[in-house]
Amino acid sequence: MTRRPVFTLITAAAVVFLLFPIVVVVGVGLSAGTVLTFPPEGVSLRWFADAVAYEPFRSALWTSVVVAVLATVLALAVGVPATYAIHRRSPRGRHALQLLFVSPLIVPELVLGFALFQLFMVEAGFDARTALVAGHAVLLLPYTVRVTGASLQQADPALEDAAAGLGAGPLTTFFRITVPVIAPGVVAATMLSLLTSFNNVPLSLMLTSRRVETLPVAMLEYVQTSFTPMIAAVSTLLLLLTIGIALLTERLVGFQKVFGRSAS
Amino acid sequence: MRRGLGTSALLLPAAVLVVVGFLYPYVTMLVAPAADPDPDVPGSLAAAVTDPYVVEIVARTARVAGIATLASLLFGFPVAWAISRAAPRWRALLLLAVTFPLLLSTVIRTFAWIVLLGGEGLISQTLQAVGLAAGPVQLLYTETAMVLGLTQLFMPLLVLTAYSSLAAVDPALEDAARGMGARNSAVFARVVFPLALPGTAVGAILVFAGCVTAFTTPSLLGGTRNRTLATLLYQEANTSVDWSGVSAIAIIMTAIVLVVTVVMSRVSAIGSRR
Amino acid sequence: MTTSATAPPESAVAADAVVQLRGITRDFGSGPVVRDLDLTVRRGEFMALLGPSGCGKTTLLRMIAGYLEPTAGQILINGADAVRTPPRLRNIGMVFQSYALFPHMSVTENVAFGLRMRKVARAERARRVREALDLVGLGDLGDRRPAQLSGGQQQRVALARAVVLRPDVLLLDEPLSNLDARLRVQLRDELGRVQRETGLTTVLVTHDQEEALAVADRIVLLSRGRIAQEGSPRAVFERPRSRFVAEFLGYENVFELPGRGLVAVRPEHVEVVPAEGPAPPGARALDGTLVATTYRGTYSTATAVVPLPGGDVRLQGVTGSPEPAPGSPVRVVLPEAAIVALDPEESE
Repeated sequence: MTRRPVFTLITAAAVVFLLFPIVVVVGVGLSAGTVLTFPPEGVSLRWFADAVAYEPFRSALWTSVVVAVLATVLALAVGVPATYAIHRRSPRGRHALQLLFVSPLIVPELVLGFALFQLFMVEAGFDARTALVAGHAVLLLPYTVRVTGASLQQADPALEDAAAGLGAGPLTTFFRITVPVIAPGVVAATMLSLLTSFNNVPLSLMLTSRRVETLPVAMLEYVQTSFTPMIAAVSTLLLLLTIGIALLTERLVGFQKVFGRSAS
Repeated sequence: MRRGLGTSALLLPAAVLVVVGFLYPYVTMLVAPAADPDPDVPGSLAAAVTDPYVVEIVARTARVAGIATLASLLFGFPVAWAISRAAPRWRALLLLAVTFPLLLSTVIRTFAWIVLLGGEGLISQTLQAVGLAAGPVQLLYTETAMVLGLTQLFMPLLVLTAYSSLAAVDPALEDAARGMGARNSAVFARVVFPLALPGTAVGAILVFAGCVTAFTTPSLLGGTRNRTLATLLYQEANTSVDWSGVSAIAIIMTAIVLVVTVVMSRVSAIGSRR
Repeated sequence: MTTSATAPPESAVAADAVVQLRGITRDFGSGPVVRDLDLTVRRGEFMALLGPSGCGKTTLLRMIAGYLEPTAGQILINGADAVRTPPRLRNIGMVFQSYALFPHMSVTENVAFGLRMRKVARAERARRVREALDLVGLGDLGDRRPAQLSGGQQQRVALARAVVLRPDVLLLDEPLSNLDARLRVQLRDELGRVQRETGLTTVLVTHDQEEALAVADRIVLLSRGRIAQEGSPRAVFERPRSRFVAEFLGYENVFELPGRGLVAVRPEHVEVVPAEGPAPPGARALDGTLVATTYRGTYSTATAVVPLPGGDVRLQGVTGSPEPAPGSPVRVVLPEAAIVALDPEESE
């Protein structure tokens, strides 16, 4: 089937439209001047140096990392057993349960953030970090359940029966058979969760305090008040980090698992 | 036959997380915000819905979201179609290129527009150079800017869902249609498009919901003069002590999204019934 | 000698009975899938559970294995009540339809798994694994992963994994249905050989009658949760007792023969010839009209319509060349020896 030139044109235009922000961000980050222009005036690494040294970004980065790791661990710890129960135990009300675990995605994040803010922080007095971890875990749960669920569904359910028939007890079956088989799914879910948590803006925005904020929130504040290329430099660094994580996931698991059918 | 840990024990922690971390706080906020000593949500809701300022914001939110969704659809569907017809080796690469931006924070993705849309920005300069504008064009802090930003933000989502549903159409159906004498355009219009429509519609609805609830992009590109529901909510939450009033705005936002979600499940149900 | 569906006296059976099912019923909530079934599997025999899909054969197998509990009835394995024993404590070896090989383990590790669970020492484990792999002809493939094996090889690994444990009973759930026809024949012969060499009591579930006839010592034909007929392959095949059994086994001509009642005759034994001359001795001849013939090379099959007191009946047979023309009068010759009397049908 011949590809008409008009499609090549549309596709190229789309790719340019979607990817040029990255070019702009990197370009501005490398600029030598102090004004936000593209193309940049001159090339320099000064803004990268400044970004790395900028204290609010440093502590925000640390907060983001801690929150992402803790929230991911929590989401996996409660999500994987739940997924296992749904796909291997045929509980009553399977559909309702699946809906329940995906439900946090249905509501606007900002509103959820507000709800958690006024209940957890204003009313119950939790500190920002705790609220962030809890809120992020709630947001990450749908991802962990869905991605590991897909992995479990693809695995042969007879595997666990086979292990049982060969004399393995429930714990042995879980650790020697189930876990290795769903490991790729769990890895994919972990990477996706870490990234999602790290990049999150609306929910985190509502749950920050004067001393505790995540990196995207710090960046947002900076963009609204200062107009230097430093924000572009930080963004470029994050971009590199994201590419790194994506490549790592690809190495460990293959894109098939994360993107499903779409990639093949 | 009970084996090992009971099913309930496996499901309980996740259920607790969802109830304690989502359902309970959310419902309390909607009904009677805990932080408000004298909550009156229904009253605040009535006040909000009749407030022309709020109404204008709702209209703007819907307008911007609608245009951005339309743009995503008009631009994104042909792209999805082109990708689905591309050679396999290009396909994976193109999908990667389209979906990679989804891995980045919205701040990063929106930032480029700030640089380009200002009066001295690249777009303004280009428009002047080409003769479409007499002087510097300030596109920042306009609805146009928000539409551009949102379209770029959500188009990958539409391309992905449209691609998924296009790829799910059995190629044998197209062969059959062609064998019965249909030309390519007829094959597309009468076989492929109708079958891919439900999935694509679901994608469009997801895009709409995303645009309605988006915060970063309207905040950075719309500014204080072009508030949407999301930026209004944020401002009120930070400055107002009227918790019920903030809840009212939250209810409006939630209602819009819920309606959209229900429509979406109807559409995809129709699609799967075919 | 065929055994009836009701259990013979317990004392005569208990000694060499490995698995005994008594009054087994299983209901999933929308009607019983297995109804009040009695079955005994004797030591060393190769039993085939044969039947169309939905007849309950896999359900029965899973109950013997312990993955399913019967709604009612008793299961005895080697004389001991096993209903409440979970699969891992029953000494069974099971081969699943999907083989269920652990994808993250090598062939050797797969086969050794059951031995590890029983804490068999490493040296002995290696020896027995080697033995089992040699038995199924896969001695050199120990280091491969299942994904690197062909379907036939995977099936053999699954078999080795089950056999290495020297189970009381070997259970096979349609192990050959995922293979192409040629491989199926090859592997079913392998299966028979392995069973003979190991002497393992074996129960095979299949819907393929050719497979059951080829390998089993005893066939149990199931229909809608009950035993329709059981016996040696020859006994069941040559003397079906009901319409269901006859039709399942390929007796296409099942009809009411005047003077004989309900009978079944195989098409291969029926001759369709032009209606002229006297009827041959030792056979029943029915006159009718030819409908169509199909050329099959060495012979041709023919369908004829024969008017009978109960109505017109279509019969299938073989015919030689030149084939009679459609519409011409023909004689359907049924040799006495080929006419099998069926039990009269119960009106339901």
